[in-house]
Amino acid sequence: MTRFVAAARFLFAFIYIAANSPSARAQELASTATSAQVRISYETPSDEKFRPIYDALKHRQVLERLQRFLVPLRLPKVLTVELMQCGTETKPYESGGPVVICYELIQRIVDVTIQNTKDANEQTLIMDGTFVQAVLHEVAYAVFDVLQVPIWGREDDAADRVAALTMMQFSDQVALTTIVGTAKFFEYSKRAWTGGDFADLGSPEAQRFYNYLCIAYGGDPLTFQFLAPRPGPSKVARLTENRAPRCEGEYRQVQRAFDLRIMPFVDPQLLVKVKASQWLLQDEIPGGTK
Amino acid sequence: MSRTRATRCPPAVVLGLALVTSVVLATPVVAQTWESIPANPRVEIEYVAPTSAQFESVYASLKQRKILEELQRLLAPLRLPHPLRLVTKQCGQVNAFYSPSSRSLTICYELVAEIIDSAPQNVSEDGFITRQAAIIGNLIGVLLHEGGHMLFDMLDVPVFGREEDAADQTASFIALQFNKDVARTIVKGFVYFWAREKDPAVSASMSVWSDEHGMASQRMYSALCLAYGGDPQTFQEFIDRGWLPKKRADHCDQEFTQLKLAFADTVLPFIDQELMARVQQTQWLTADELK
Repeated sequence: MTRFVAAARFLFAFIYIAANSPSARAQELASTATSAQVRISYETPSDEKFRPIYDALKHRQVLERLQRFLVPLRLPKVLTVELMQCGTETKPYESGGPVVICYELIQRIVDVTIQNTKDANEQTLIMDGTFVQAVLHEVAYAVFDVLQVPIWGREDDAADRVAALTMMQFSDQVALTTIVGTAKFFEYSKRAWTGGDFADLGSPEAQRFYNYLCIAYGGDPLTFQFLAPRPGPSKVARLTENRAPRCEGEYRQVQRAFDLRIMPFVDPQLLVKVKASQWLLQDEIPGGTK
Repeated sequence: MSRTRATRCPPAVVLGLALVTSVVLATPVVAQTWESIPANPRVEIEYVAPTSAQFESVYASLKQRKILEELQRLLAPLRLPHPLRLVTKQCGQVNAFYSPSSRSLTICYELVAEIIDSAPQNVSEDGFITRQAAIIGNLIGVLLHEGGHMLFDMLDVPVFGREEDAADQTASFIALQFNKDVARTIVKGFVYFWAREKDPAVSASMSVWSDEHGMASQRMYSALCLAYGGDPQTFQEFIDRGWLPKKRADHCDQEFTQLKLAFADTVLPFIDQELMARVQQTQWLTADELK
C-alpha cells in the first residue's frame, strides 16, 4: 500500500512538464509545435507490475512534452525516444538510437525513494528530480551521437554534466528540485565499491552525487549556497573545501563545451521561449526543497 | 546507469580519423635522436635551483637528463596559440600542475623525489616492472597528464566529461603514439603507481568521493583499457595477468576509438603532421629506461 501511494504521488507530481497547466506560459508552451525530429513510443509492458507506471506516463503525455522541450534542437536526423520494459534498469544507447527509458528504472527510483524516506515532500523531490535526470542523461547520449560531439572524459559523466547544465537553465525551483532530488537519489542508492567495481564504465554514485552538486553550486552559488562547505559535522552532505572552489570552473567548462558544440544546433528564439516557460507548477513543487 | 555507446564513425570525421590513424600506431622506420628535432619556439624552459639541499640530486638529475629540452622537442609539432613555460622547481608540496593564468607547466622536485622513492629497488614483486620503467613511466605519465590540461586550455578544447579523467586519457593516448616499447614503459609506470595507491574503504565517509580526480583503481583501469583498446596485441599480456576485468576489456576498443575521434576533432588540427611523423620516429627513452 505504501508503495502504491508513493508511486501514485510520484506519477502525479511527475506531470510538471506543463502541457495541461493552467498557467498562461505553460499553455503557450503546450501550443508550441512538437519537434518533427523527435519520435516517441510507449511500449506496453508485458509485466503487469509496470502497468500503473505505463498508464500514468501515457496519460500524462510525458513523451509528448519531451518532444516540445526538444523543439529548439535542430537535429540532422530523427531521434526516437521510447518508454519500455527492458528486462534491466537501463538499455545502453547505441549509435542511431533509440533513446530508451526503462520502466524498471522508474520502478527503482520509486523503490529507492520510499525505502529511504517517509517524508512525502522529500519523496516527491527525489522521484521528480531523478526522473528528469534519467531522461536528460539518456537524451544527452543521443545528442552526442547525432551531433558528432567529441567526448573527452567518461561519456557517462559527460551525459551527467549536460543533464546538470540543462537543469540549471530554468527557474531556481526547477534547478533545486532536479539537482537536489537527483543528488539525494545517488546518496540513498550509494553502494560499496571494492576491487573490480572500479573498472566500471560509469562513476560511483557518490562521485555522481558530487558532480551534480558541483555543477549546481558553480552555476548558481547563491541559490545553492547551502551546499558550501562549513566547519564541523553536518547532517547534510555538502561540497568539500577542496571541491567547492573549483565548481565555478567546472560549470563554465561544460557550458563552454555546450556553447561550442551543441548551441550551433539550437534555435535561439525557440530556446528563449522554452526557457521562459513555467515547467514546474506551483502546486507540484515539493515543500522543503531548500 | 553505466555504459558506453557503440562507436560511430560519421563521414564528417572520416578524413580526420584517417589522418589520426596515419599518425596513431605508425611504426617508426628510422630512429632519430631527439636533439635533431627542432624545439618548439613557443615553449620556454627553466630548471629552478632548489632551496633545500635534499632536492639537489633530483634537480641535477633532471638537468642532466635534459628532460625539459626533450619535452620542448616532443611538443615541436604542436602549433600553440600562446607561449608555454615548462618549469621544474621546489614547490613545498608533492605536485605537478598546469596553471592557465600563467600558462606554465610545473613539475615539483618533491613529486619527482617521491616517484623515485616509491619505485622498486630492482623490479616489482611480480617481476614485471623494472625500477627504471616505474620511474620514467610514471614521470612521463605525470607530464602527459598535465600536458592534457595545457592542451584543453590552450586549444579551447570542449571538455564535456570530467577534466581530470580527460587529462588521464590524453596521457594514455599520447603514450600510444610512439613505439611499443615506449608505450609499454609508460603504461607500466601508470600501473605501478596507481596499484600502490589505496581506494576508499567501504566504511569511508561520503566526502572521500568528492574529489575531482578519479580513484586510484579507476585511473589504473582506464589507462589499461585505453592501452589495450589502442593496441590489443602489445597489451594482451597485461590483460592475461588479470589486471583488467573482462567486462571492461570487452569495451576498450570502443573507448579508444571514441578518444581517437575526440583527438582528431579537437587537437589534430593544431598538429604539424610532418613534424609529428619525425617525432614519432625519434628515440625518446634510453635503452636503460626501456628495460
